Amino acid sequence: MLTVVAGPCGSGKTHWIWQQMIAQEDAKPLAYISPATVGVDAYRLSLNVPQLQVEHDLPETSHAIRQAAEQQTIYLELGCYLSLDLPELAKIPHRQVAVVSPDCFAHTDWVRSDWEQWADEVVINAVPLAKITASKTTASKTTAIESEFVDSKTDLWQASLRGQVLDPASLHLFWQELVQGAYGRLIRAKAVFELADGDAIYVDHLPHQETTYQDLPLPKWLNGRPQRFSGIEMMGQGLDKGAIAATLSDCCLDDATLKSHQAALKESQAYLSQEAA
Amino acid sequence: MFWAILSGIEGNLPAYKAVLKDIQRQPIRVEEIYILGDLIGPRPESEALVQYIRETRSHSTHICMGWWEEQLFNLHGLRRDPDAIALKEKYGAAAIEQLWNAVSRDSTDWLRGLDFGFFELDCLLAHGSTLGCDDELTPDTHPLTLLDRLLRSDANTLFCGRSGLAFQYQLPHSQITSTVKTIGTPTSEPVVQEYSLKPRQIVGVGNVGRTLDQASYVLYNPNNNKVKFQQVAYGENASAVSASRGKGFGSY
Amino acid sequence: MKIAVISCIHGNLEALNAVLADIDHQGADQTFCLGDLVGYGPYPNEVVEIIRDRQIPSCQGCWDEDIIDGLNACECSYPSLLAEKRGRLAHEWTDAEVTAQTREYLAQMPLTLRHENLCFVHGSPQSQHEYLLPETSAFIALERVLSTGADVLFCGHTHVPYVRTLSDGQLQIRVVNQAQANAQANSQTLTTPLKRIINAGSVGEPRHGKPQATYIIYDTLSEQTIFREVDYDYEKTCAAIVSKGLPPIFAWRLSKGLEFAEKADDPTHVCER
Repeated sequence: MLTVVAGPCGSGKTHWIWQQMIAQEDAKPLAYISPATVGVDAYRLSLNVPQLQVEHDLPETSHAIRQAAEQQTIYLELGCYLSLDLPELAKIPHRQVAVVSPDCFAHTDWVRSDWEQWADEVVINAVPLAKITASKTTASKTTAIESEFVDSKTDLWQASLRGQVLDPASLHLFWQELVQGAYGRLIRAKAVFELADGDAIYVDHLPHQETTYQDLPLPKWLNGRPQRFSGIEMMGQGLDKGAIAATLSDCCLDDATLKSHQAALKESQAYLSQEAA
Repeated sequence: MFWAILSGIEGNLPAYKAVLKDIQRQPIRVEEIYILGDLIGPRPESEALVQYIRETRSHSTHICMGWWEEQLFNLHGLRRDPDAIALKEKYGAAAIEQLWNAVSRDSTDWLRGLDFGFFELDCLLAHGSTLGCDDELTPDTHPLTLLDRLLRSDANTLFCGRSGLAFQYQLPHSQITSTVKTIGTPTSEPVVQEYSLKPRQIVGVGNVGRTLDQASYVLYNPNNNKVKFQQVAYGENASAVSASRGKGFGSY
Repeated sequence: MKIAVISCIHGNLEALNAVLADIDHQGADQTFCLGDLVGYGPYPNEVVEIIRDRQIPSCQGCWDEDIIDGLNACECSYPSLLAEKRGRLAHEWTDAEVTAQTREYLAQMPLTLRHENLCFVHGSPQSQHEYLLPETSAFIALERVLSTGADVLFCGHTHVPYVRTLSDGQLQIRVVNQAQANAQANSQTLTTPLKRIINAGSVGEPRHGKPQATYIIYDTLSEQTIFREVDYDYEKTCAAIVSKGLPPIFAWRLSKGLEFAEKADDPTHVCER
C-alpha cells in the first residue's frame, strides 16, 4: 500500500509516519520515500525502524510503482515546499493523508477545508507550541499563518555533512545566529550533526519555537571521520546560502584537530574503564 | 598518611641525604615526598645531586622545577630571559658561568621534563606560585596577595619554597561585602552580596641546602591539615660544599 | 570634577564621534580612555587619529598591544573554534589596515594611567588580558585595586559597564614564622579600606544586548557614577564592516549588541599570556 503524506511546515508528518510504522501488524516490508531532501528524516526513521528501506524518489515507471505498492507498505512524505500534484500516481491506488496541526495550516493559501478536499484522511497533530512570541498572540490566527506561507519566494538549502565533525561550542554559536535571522529569515531547519565527542544529535527548529536537541541512539564514533549519515535541511526567505555553508564549514574540525581529540577521548575512556575495573 | 615537602637543595647532596634519613626515621609513615624546585644551584655539585636523584627516586617522589632551574633554561635560550638578567642582578655576572658549568646538557634535558607544580587534594605545591617560579611569598607579603595566589587555583593550602623561609601563614576567616550596579540596575537597587572564605593557608617549606649544617623541611598530614616544621642538623661531610659556598654569589 | 571614561572603541568611528559629542554635552572636564582603540571595527586609523589629536590620555589595550607586533590573541580568549577563526580574521584585517603612524602611537601608550586617587587600566593592573567581572572573586578584585594604591580602579575589556564597591573587608591572620627565635603564633585582624572598581563598558563593540555605545561619567566629589548609553547610526558602521571586507557577521552582531568573537567565559580564568 502506498500512502502519500503531506501537510504544513512542522505539523508532525514524519512523527505520524513513524507511529504508523511501529504500529503495523502485518509483516510487509516498510519503505519510506522523501523526495528532494538530503535524508534527515529518513535517517531518523531508519534508526528507530530496523530494516526500513529508504528511497530518495518513487520508482520511474508506473509498473514499478504499482509493483512496489503491492509488495511493500510505502510512505511517501512530501515536504511542505513540494507540489501535491503527482501525475505519476493518477492511475495507481494510493491513500492521501494530510497531517496538520491546529495552529498551522500554511501551505500556499490552503486552509483546513482545502486539506480535507485533498486528503482521504486528515490527522490533527497536537504539536505543542512552546514560546510563541508575544506579537503572534496579539495578531489574529490568519495573520500568523500568512507570515509562514511557503511560496515561490521561499528558499531551500540542504547539505550532506557526511564525514564532518562539529565543535559543539561553534555549532551553538552558529545555530543561535541562524535562528535569530543573521543569515536570512529562517522558517524551518532540521539536521543530524556528528559532534567532537563522538556522539550524533538531531536538531530541530520549528517556526516560533525553541530549538530541540535529541541524542541519537548510536555508539560514539572515535575512529576517524564518521561513516554514517549527517546533514542539514532548511527553509527560509532571503537565506544567505554562501554564508551559511561557509560558517558551518568553520564549525568543523580539521583532520589534525579531530585526530588529537579522538586520541584524547580514547585515552580517557581507557583510563575510566581501568579505574572501574 | 604524611607528605614530606622540601625545597632548595641547591646541589647540597649531604643536606639532601640528611633530610631523607630524617624522613625515614619518623615514627609516622611518609607516603609522598614533594621536592619543590631549586634542586640545583650555581655550583658544580649540582650535577651529582641531579644524578643521585634520578637514580634513587621512588615513584612516590614528586619533583617540580624552581627558580634556579628556570635560570638554567634561560641560559640555554629556552625561556624568556636568555641573557639571564634576573640572575645577574641578584647574584652577579660570575653566577652565570657557574650555573652554566654546574649542570650537564643531559641533566638539563631531564630537568626540563619536570612538572611546574602539583595540585593534590586541596593543596597546591609549587616553587613560587601559579604565577611563576619567581613569585616570592613571605610572611610580609600582603594577605590579599596571598589570598589571590590561593584563589587563582582554588587551593586551601599553598606549599611554596621560593623564599627559603619556613612559615605557616593562616587565614582562618575572611569576609567582604560587594555591591554591584550594572547598566540594567535602577539606581535604588544595586546587588549586595557578602562573601566569606573557609580557612586557607600558605606554607613556606624552608630550605634544604642553603644554610651550612642545617636543613629544614615540612611534614604535612592531609587528614588533619597539621603542618610540622623539621630542622635537620648534618655533619662535616659538607666541607667540599662549604669551600665553594663563599665564592661569587654573596649573601642569599 | 566630572570625568568621562571611555573604552574599547575598536575602530568604530561613528560610535566614537557620538560618544565624544555626548561627553561635551554632559560637560565633562576631562576624558580618559582605557584602550582597545583598534580591532574588529572598520576605522582603526581614524579612531587613533581622533584620540591623538584631542589628546585624550589612553592606556594600552590588549588589541593595541597585539597589533603593534601583528600578533593574534591568545586562543583562551575565544569560547569556540568559530569565534577563534573570526578573531583571527579580524586580527589579520586590522594588521593589514593600520598605518605605521598608528602602530607608533599604540606602542607608546602606557599600561596604566593615574589621576589623584584614581587608576586606569585596560583589563587589570596585572594584565591587559585579565577580565575583572562582577562575578570575579571579591577578594581578588580587592587585591587588584589595592595593588595600584588607588581608591578607584577604572577598567574595560569586558564591554559591559558596572560599578562594584568592595567594603567591610576583614581578614583574620595567624602567622607562625620559624625564622623567629620564639616561633609563636602571631594573630591579628586586618580590615580593608573601601575600594571601587568601575568598568567603562565599550564604545565600539557593546556586549549588553543593545547596539548603543556605553561609557561612564564619574564625579570625583560626590563619587557617583552615571552610566551613559549613546545612540548613533550603527548601520553606518555595519555597512562599513561589510564594504571594507571584515567578516559580515560582525555587522549583525553589532546590531544585536553581541560580542564579535572574544568572550569572558570563565571569571576564574586568568590568561597567563
